[in-house]
Amino acid sequence: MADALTAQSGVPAIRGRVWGGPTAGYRRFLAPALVIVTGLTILPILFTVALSLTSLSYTSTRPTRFVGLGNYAQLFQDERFVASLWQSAILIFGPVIVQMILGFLLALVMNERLPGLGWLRVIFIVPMFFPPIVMGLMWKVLFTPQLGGINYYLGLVGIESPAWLADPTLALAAIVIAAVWGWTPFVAVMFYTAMQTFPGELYEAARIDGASWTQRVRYVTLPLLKNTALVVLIFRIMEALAIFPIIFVMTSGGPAGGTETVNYYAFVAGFNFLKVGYASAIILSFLVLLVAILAPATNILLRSLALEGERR
Amino acid sequence: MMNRSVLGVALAGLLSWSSAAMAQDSAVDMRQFEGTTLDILYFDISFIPGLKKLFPEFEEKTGIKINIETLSEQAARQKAQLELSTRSTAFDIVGVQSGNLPLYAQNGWVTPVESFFDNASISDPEKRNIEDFIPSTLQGMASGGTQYCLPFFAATVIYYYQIDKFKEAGITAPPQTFEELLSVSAKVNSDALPAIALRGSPASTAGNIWIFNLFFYGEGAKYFADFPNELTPQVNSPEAIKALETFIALKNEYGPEGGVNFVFDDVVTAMQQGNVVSVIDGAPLAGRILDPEQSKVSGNLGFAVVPGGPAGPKPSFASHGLCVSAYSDTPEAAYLFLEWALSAETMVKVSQNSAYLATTRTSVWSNPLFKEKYNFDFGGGEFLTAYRDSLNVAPADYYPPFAAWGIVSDRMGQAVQEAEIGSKSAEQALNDANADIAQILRDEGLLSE
Repeated sequence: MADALTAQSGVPAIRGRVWGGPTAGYRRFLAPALVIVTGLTILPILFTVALSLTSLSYTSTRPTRFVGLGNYAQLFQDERFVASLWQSAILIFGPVIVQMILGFLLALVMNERLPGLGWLRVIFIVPMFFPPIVMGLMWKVLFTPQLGGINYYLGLVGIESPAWLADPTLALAAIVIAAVWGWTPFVAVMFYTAMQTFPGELYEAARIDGASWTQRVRYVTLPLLKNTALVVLIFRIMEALAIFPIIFVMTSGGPAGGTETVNYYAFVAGFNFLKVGYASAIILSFLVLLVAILAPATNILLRSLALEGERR
Repeated sequence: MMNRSVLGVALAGLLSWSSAAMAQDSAVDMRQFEGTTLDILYFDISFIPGLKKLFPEFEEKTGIKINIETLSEQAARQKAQLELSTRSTAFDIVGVQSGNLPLYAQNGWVTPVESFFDNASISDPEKRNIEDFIPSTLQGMASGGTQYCLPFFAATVIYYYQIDKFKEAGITAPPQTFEELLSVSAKVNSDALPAIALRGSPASTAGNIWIFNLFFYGEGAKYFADFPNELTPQVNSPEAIKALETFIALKNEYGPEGGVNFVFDDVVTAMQQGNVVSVIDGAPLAGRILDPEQSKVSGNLGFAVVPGGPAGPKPSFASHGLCVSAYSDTPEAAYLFLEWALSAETMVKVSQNSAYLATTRTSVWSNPLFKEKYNFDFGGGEFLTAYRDSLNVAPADYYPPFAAWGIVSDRMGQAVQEAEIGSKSAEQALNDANADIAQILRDEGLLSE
């Protein structure tokens, strides 16, 4: 009965099965998870919301008081916050877009039956084993004019060596490059794994119909990959915040704040300036913004999954 | 800014402590806290690694177990502030830099060490010998007339230079003014070997401001109209603009590429490896720069007090100390450790078992073992003389002692970087910083609306 309900109506059926009907008794099995989620996620968020409505600052000589939405109002006059929003957009979406494209291309290569590819597959995923802090250190050295190899090789082909991390624009580019190097393999492995499950008959039929390699990719692989791509995209955007240690090591948000993301600014405001109320407002605003961006993508994904369920 | 010299600061209150203390019974039962465990948090600033080697000695003598957690400087500070602001009992002893002491005092995060001085069961007047501390380093560990912590590290900066490169350029003496520094740097500079490396990052107290302020004060500029009575910021004065122009000229015209990201480690390595002709950085780092196993400039390094401007040389100054956490379960045991760790006897031992030379005790400065090990002299001035002379002229409140200094210095550090990378002129960067600092001070309740 339950299986039939699921098959007929997809996601809404799951909701009905949990919260009502003959299986309502199973709800108690949710209790441990609910307790953990409430304790570890919901309560801290509520506490942060409460803090963001206060003037709590360990450097201030004034007593802590309730300021309502005062901290949020201050955000929009804070040039550093506004700049950090733009820099976040570049440092989160820049690498993710490049990772999606490169990851897809890498997966296509990995999916081919070419000699020696087994080893290449292993080499492709090596960056995944680097902790972000080590990755940041490695790229910092590579981009340092006196130490790294990047400028040496650029010099060999006649390109003048810039001081990458001393210029805000180049420093942003350097961080994007480091992040692309670090997380493209994850995207490639996810795409490659999905491609392994695609039915061979579809490709065979396309081939018989005279489809070229490009057409097979365009009309068979890409449509089949849509849901995986959405999942990977959502994961990558959420995880793109993990760029923090790379920024910390490579530029410390500099030069002149040119690579400071919103969460890095919240870190500075909270841990360096000890302005706890204001830092809470910064990070919550960012959370709201991220949810606003991720919600449509998640909606599309759920709708797509529900449609597939109905089709089955 | 109050213009007091480091060794010239007199602490009258200390005399009363010491005389009262001398009258006490000095018998302290070192095993009274046997079985206790003490947890310490700081970073591996020189002194700490050498002190760690002596922990077994203390543990054997007292039966107290010592655990120490060392992180990077920034991480240690952040962790200490987080632990203390949440009243955590995780650490009994925390390290602090003088610039942050007012914050710790304002929030009541540490128990004043002076509250232990009268307790004869844990405090031995001869061992603590307060008068032996260099007064300015002790003052850095005090706030509002209360002695909160005890210092172990006297930080100042000196001018290091390669003697042979100076000789080749026909320079006979190290520069004494900023103009001379610019002309000397121009003479010795080349594409292959930049003239001077200075810190550029992070944009804060621990980074570019540590060096930039010596140009700022040297030109006669000041942060506030009349600290601590009148805090109207004055960081865009003509003197301040001139200081910034000199600083960025040195960095951009005579410094290594990418210098805006140079943290102290990069500067020290550049000097140690002979990749620059000169640096201005910490005197306590001489041990590392001249480390026989790594240094390429050993035997060829000169030492001098940093150049100055119309206001004279104003070398950087800070002290680092150890404090008893206000939330320690065993504050008396923690103090017992502090008194042992910061005694002259322990400091001499640490100076011998490690590269620690930034001692805060005058008796250690005159100790023969200490002098023999650290008085480097390769024909370009005696190291300990340059160090001592720098301490003599360094302003005791190089970092204005108030809790919001970190925020102000961060904003100022940003302005220095903006001018350095050319996104703003020196004047514009400082005008913007002045307006922002005024707002910061208003937000902190330190300046009227």
